[in-house]
Amino acid sequence: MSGIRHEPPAVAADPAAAVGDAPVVVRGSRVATLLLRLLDHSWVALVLAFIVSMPIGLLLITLTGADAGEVVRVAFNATVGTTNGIVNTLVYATPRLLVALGAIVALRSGLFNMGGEGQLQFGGVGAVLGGYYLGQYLPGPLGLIAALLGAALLGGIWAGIAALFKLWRGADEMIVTLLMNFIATYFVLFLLQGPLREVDSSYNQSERIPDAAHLPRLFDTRLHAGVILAAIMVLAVWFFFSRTRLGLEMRSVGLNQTASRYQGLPIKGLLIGAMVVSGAIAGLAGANEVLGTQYRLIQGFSASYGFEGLAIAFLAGLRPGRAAILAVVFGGIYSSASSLQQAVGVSASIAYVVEGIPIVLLAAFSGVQMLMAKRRAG
Amino acid sequence: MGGILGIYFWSSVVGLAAPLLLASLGETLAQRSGLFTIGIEGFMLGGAFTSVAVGVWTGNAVAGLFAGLAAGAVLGAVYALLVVYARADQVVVGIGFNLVVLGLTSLFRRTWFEGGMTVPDQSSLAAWDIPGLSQIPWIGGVLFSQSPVVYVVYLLVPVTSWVLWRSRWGLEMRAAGDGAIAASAQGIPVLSVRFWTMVVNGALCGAAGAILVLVEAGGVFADNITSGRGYLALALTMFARWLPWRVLVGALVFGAADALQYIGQAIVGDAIAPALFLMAPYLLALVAWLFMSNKVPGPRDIGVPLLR
Repeated sequence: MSGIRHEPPAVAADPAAAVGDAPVVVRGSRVATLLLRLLDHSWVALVLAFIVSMPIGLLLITLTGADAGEVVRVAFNATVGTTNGIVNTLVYATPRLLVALGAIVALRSGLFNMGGEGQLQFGGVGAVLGGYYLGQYLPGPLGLIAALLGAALLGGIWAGIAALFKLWRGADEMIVTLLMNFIATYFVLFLLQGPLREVDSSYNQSERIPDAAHLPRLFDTRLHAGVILAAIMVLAVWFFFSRTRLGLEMRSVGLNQTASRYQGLPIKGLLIGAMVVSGAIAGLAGANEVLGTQYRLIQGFSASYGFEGLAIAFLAGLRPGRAAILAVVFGGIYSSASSLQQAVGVSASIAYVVEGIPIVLLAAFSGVQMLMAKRRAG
Repeated sequence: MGGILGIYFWSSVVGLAAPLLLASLGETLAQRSGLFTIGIEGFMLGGAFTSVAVGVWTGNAVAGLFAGLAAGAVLGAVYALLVVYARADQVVVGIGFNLVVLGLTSLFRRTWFEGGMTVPDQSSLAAWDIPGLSQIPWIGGVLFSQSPVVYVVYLLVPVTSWVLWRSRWGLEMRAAGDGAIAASAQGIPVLSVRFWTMVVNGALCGAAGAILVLVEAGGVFADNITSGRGYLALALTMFARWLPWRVLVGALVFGAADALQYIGQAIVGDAIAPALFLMAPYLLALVAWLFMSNKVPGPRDIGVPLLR
């Protein structure tokens, strides 16, 4: 494909191209350098962006007729003000964080995986297959392990398909994964209306996962072990990219494919690997919902976690640790919005406004900075 | 009603293709000028919401249609300020922009239209038989018995071609998208060309969202009603290689995939699940994306901000 963007200007002056060698193994691959520079915001800028967006959210809610003091009180209680608020914040943060981590793995390797939503949907299917259909024959916690592995496997395969399309046809993975989101969502609907539907149910939902395959609850609250899983994944992704050889090789492919090729790196294998791991982590987000909160697969179980996760990855500058903090912020925003929907009748979708504005602001800010740097350099 | 050859099916194809065609024509102009619009989904959703809101308030579907177009133009202008003048990354900003529009439209729907959002009377946009032509057997019923706004959308195909290859603006657009720095050195106002192209793209996508809800979906708005139609238009624009007549062909194929869900049940009964019909347009887009030739060269500067 003709490469939508982020083609480095250096490609034209690439010495390998001049000698007629074909330097680019995979057409249309992007370069993570530019993206990393664009997304690299200081803490001050990040905090400022939320300081702008939160009052805008508050203003919008008060325009619907709610009392501002009441709104602040509800939001406080839904986040840091009460134990329940803290629990809900973490529960809402978990799937968003897992999707963000998946996106980070792909983006760091130079792959624009926009398909977190679809991979999460398939992860949900994998969790039901492993946790219910296989899990009922497995003793003890093996059912839970089967469910998690099933989710990672299906999420990984679904993402891997997009990587194969890229290698085989040069198909741009951004458009492919965007389209595959909708294919996955309708495929899950198909499963829930047919093969996976609970017997004699009037809802589009699967059978209930047996208790042994649930993510165990923590401290007798809604909080469940998914949050521990997500924390482990944060450390794993950080360790992988900063401390392992394979992680370095994947980053290298993302930063400069030509140089990586001259290093003798197996570029195709690394790209497929990055995409599969990315999808597997997003798949765990689906498992988190099925095994930790709903205990079954339900139509529409993901309220656009895919795009929220991507938003977190962008805001975090592709850093796993920052993603964890931002996911908690997003979880708090959603927890507040959902409490406000009950308390003052405003739509919980207000959360998307408060989450989206910082991205827009920071993207514009980076663009202006880039322009000024260019002009100073002449 | 008839089967797969019936007038009803093919007339639905022509109608259902119209919103996708209109949005893709707008995006074709935008990409020709070097802009890659993930935000197209937001333009369509914003246009759809505004058209139904104004349609409900005024009771006039035509007023709703123009309001959708205007809302799209405003969203396009905001988006253009971000990506053209502030040089924001076009993918990153698009993700945030679509989240904001999704949030705002759902928020306003729940706040202002708690009992639901339906335009009471869409008769002003109802099918209008072109005298004489609509009497032609089969073809008349398929092509010449559509909503007036659908005729306009199809007329925009040659108009878009003309603009791109025969007008000064089109020349400047193509120059801005295919060597922006050289064009800028030649004195072409790349930034303002891109800005106004994005405003036009926004207007067309807003109108496309309006047509989607007012003409094709019975005047009902629900949260996130566009559900990825914008991304379909984005894909269509690119595998049609930025050529309006190819966009037309692609849009008709998608229209057919869409229309299948209405007659599919009648033809195959329960043999194929309805969810698979809903999936069909996206699956088709994916297959087309994999197998369409990409030999036709496209604009080189798609998605690249002008740094100068």
